[in-house]
Amino acid sequence: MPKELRYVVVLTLIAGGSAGLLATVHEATRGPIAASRKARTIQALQAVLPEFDNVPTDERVVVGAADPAAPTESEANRLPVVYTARKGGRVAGGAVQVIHPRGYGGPVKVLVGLEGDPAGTVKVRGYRFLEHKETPGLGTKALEPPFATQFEGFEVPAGPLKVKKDGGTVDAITGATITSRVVAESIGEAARLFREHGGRGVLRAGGPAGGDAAAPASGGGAEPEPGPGAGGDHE
Amino acid sequence: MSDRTAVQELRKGLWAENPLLVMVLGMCPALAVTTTMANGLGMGAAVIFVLTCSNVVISLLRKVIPSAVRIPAFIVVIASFVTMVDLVMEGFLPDLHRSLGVFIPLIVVNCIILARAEAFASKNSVWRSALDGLGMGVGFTLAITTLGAIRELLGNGTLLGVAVLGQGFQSHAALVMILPPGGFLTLGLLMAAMQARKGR
Repeated sequence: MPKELRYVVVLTLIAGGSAGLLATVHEATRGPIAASRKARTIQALQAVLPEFDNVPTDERVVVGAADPAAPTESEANRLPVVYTARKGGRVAGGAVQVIHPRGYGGPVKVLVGLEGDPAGTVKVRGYRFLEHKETPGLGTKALEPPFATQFEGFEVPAGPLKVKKDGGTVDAITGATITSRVVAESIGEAARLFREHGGRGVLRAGGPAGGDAAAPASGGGAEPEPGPGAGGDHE
Repeated sequence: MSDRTAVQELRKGLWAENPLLVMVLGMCPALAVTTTMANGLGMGAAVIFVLTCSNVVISLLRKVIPSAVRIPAFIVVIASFVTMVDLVMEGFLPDLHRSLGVFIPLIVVNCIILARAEAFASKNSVWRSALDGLGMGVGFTLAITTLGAIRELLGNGTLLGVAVLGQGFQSHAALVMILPPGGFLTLGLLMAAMQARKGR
């Protein structure tokens, strides 16, 4: 066997063996990974939501989903999601998943719990990081007192929420301004999304007119457009 | 190289050839994740697993792999074990997985593992390679756990998350120890202490 061929054969066999092994492990861990992600979301929801008697995970709006009535799990994973909590049929509050693109270690997925009516005053109940790569022991202080406690019962004003360094009102953590900014801006964004989508369940999901940032991508998902390519479905 | 006894093969990584403090390999995870003792332990456990398994597999394949393509072959083997650790950790230890974050995938490019594959496992028997991997892995773990413990204690007043230095210290903890400079300072002092003991 020429030596070049031997190189190819050996490397192919090693790569093939690795692929087989990884496929097996992936198959075996897929269930537990999905379960642990879901459990984290449910646990975080229970921790940040006000008292409720509905099923908030059933009454959610995935902002910007291609089909608002039936968002896919992958969309629910990477887009903002508004969960509505009800008590006795009335909206008691909600939780909003916000993906902040500029954390210290990359995007941060934050779940913000809110109390109140989308049309009235909205107060913060708490927040959790669902996924993040902030510095352990430093950026993660944004989840602990005294920083976290300043938001308890905080009435979110309309408009963006900023840290003092950016001309806002929120005290940042020494040495972790970026993570503090992530929290402040995520809370502002969560309140905005809740005011817009809170209380509108899956069936009445905002649609293309809802999320202004995501509208171009999702526009035309439901209604046929009178364009050259749109007339073909009668044949 | 093979006139060492099995015990010596295992022990050399702990002290005389400690990968972190003597050979100065694997600096990136050693400095980046050692903000807490628990992170050090978790990272160490992942490295022990990857290092031992990759040493065994590479030693098994050492007569099959042509030397011209050995590096890509080693990397594929190492990357497979790292991905396995990443998946298993995310499924069963989600909290640890979250706090170690990107540094688990980065074990692939940890110099210790490739160095042991190249310098040891590709030239020695399976049994010796397994002992070497285990010893080096434990040596690395001891070093980064010590590093993590010192930084957590001085920077946050806790050990494994339990407050040990009291509230008075905690409110004035040396924040710099958690920050990157604290990592370099602690590592430098540990290495100096190690040299001083060896030089005696």
